[in-house]
Amino acid sequence: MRYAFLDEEAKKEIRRSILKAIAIPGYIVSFASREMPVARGWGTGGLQVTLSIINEKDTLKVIDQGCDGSVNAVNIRNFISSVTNVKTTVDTKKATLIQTRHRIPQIDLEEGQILVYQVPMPDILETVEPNTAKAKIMHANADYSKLWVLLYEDTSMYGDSRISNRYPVIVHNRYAMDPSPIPKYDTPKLNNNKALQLFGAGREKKIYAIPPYTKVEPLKFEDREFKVENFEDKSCQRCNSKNSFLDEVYDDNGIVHYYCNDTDYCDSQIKKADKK
Amino acid sequence: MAYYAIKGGEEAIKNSLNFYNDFTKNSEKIEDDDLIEAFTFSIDKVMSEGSLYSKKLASQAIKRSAGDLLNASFFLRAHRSSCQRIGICKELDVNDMRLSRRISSAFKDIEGGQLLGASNDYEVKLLVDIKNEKVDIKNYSNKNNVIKSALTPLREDNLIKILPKEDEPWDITRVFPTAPYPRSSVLQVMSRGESGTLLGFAYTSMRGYGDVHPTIGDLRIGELDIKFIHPFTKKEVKIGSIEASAVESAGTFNKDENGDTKLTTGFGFCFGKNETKAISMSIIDLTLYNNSYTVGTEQIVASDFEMVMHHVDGIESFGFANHYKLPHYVTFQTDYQIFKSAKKYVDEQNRKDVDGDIK
Repeated sequence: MRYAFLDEEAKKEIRRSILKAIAIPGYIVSFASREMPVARGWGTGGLQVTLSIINEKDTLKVIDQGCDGSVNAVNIRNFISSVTNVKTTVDTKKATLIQTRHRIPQIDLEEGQILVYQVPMPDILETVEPNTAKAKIMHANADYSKLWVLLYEDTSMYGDSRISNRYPVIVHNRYAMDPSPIPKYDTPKLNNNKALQLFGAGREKKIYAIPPYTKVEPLKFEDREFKVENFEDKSCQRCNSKNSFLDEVYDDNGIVHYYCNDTDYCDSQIKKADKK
Repeated sequence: MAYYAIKGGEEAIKNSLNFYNDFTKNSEKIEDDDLIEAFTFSIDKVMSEGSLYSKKLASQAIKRSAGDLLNASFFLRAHRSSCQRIGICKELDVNDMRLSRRISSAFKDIEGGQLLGASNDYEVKLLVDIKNEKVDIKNYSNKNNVIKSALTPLREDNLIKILPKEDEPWDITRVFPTAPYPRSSVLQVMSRGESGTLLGFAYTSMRGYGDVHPTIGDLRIGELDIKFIHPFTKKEVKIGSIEASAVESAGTFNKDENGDTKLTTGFGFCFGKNETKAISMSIIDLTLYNNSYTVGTEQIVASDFEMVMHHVDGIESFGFANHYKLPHYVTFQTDYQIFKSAKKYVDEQNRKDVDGDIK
């Protein structure tokens, strides 16, 4: 098997697409997208981005729904390490390359780290304009009126946008971008992040990026607050964290328990408490 | 503890795959040669949708999938990604096919005759053993049947609409195009599309949502030689041959780019013996490029490039449909919270309406 599975031509093409994406923050770049040994829709875009930039010096972390031990994260991590032999970790701080699905790690990222998102729908305009040819023209003209109308209609009928995750953001005051299905809780973390954020959509054959320290704002009306998920007075039953994104877990007796969604963050909080 | 149940995926995956392998273990007992011979149509479907011509690998993929053909095609596609491209073969012309079957429903008599070859079209589908009568074939010829398409006379008389030719064919495996889509890319997408999906799209235009009235001008199955320019000698060499299906269907007349009235045709082509897929593809090709002649509206599914280009690939639709099995508890949590707050808002508004307390 070739190093990092993909043939060199494919890697070269993906790297070029990534460079273009970084040069135009939030702009959607097409790429050929090879079929991977993992099914389409299961992270093949993120996987191709990761495999084309990974090298022996990297330390890899893979999370799915905030968890390193989630089935798909395990599967992808095992595949990547089997074709690259890179070190893997669950520690957000030790990782140089983090592939994620649906979450941004709770612990703040640092310069030099790369966060690779698995993306199901790369174009936020798909919500309002499924025709890709028309959507491309709308992007070119920065014509996001249909998104604004949607936001207005939702606000008037339901008091807020009905978009619960993959909330539209404007990157660098220019492109409307789909941040992948992260909760709104994570949306502010996209902004001015110290790490390089890369987005790969395999099935849809698109790559886009947010370079470090780039302005990213949620699409919202000036006089409206951007509300993120809140868990009120709930805290993690394991580490007692009061401000992390929580999972609701029902036990066998039907009783709800709350735990940090980001398992590495939860572990690190416990470690901190033990030291004290 | 519930917390660890969510975390413990690794062992679960291993166990689950072991259970699954109980199915494939039985498939492994079948020799590749036997499978290739016994399930020739399955092999062909997998090679076509997997976009890789290898009967041996198709057989292994079918065994690894315990007969799930879409899954088998997926194995071939994945394998394809790890292969370095050596070069591009010479253009193929389906007129050069060594035919094993060729029919035309547009004409009663055609040059070279109707060549039925192997077909179950007129078989009565009863699950009881009905013996087919033995026939003495007297005029059987084993010469290479190379006959041009039955529509050739019309084409020579300049009666068939010719679409503009591209200088270089597109390659969707290297760059997926954006709209407007080059015709070569459209044909490629369909040629490796999922047979059932293509059939469904084509069927919409046959009844209800379109009006192409296709007539099969030429349907052929046969062998095509693959020729390649040798990198050192620069001479043309034959490197092998493939079996393929090709269909030219004729539609209604239409004006070409010079304003002349011409008969329209659609083209279908795929690896192996898969007439249904080739026919479906030719019909969709016809609707895509002649949508002004569809009755009703141009907005029908089968004449919409966006619909066809992004939705007929089996590997993609199958993967995405199955990804919904992955955990989605973060996104569902966000859905749930939004639902609760929207419900609260609407309830409050309704209460205000009842109380006549609208600001």
